[in-house]
Amino acid sequence: MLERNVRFEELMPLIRERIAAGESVRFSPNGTSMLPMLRQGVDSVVLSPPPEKLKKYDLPFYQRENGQFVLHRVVAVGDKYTCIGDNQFHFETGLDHSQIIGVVTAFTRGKREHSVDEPGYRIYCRIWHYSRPLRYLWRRGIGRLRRMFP
Amino acid sequence: MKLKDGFILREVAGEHVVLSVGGEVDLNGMITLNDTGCTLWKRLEQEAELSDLTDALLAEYEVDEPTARAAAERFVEKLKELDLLAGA
Repeated sequence: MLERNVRFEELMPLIRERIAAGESVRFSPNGTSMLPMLRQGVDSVVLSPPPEKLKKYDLPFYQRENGQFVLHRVVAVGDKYTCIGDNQFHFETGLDHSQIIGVVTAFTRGKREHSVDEPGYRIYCRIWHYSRPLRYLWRRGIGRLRRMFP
Repeated sequence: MKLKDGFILREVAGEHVVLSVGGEVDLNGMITLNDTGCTLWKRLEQEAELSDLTDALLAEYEVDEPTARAAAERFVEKLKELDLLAGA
C-alpha cells in the first residue's frame, strides 16, 4: 500500500509547482557531474525559488532545450549564463534565465547540512573553479600515462 | 485517528504520491500509495476509526470484511511506523 516507485522526471510538474508556491524542495541529484561536492545517492540539495538574477557560483537546477534536467554551477554571468559541473571541463553557454527552475540554497553532505552562504563552501567554489585548468592537465596526464603503461 | 497536517496527496504519472509540504518538500521522503492506500489515506484526512477505514474499503472494493479490516490494520500500522498519524 505504501511504496516508492516514481521516476524523478515525472515529479517535475510537482517540483515546479511547489517552487512557484515559494517552497523549497529537497532531493538527491543523479549523476557524477557535481563531484566532489555531491555524491549520487548520498548527498541531497535544497532547491529554492530562483532570484531575479543568478550570481557567479550559484548552483541552479535548470532544463536544457533538449528537455534534460541539470544541476550545474554558474561560472559566468551576462545576458545569458555559462554553467559547468564541478567534475566537468566543458562549459555550457547560453543558458537563459527562463530555463531555471530553482537554485540550491543548502545541501546535505553525508549527515551534515550546509548553507551556500557558509565561508567554507564559498572558498570551495572559488578554489575548485580556478583550479580547473590544473585539474584538466592532471587528468589528461594521468590518462596518457595509463595509455603508455596499461 | 487522523493524519498529521502538512502532507499533500497528488497523482503523478498514474501514481498517488504523498509529499510533506510547508516550507520544504522532501522528495527523498516521498511515499507512493496504491489504490487501496489512497482510499484509506483520503478517509484518514478526517477523523476515523478502524471500522470507518474498513467500511471505506468495503464500499469501494469487492472484499469481505475480515480482509478489509486486515488491510486497514496493516495500513494504520505502517502509518504509525512512519509517524504520519496525529497524536499517535
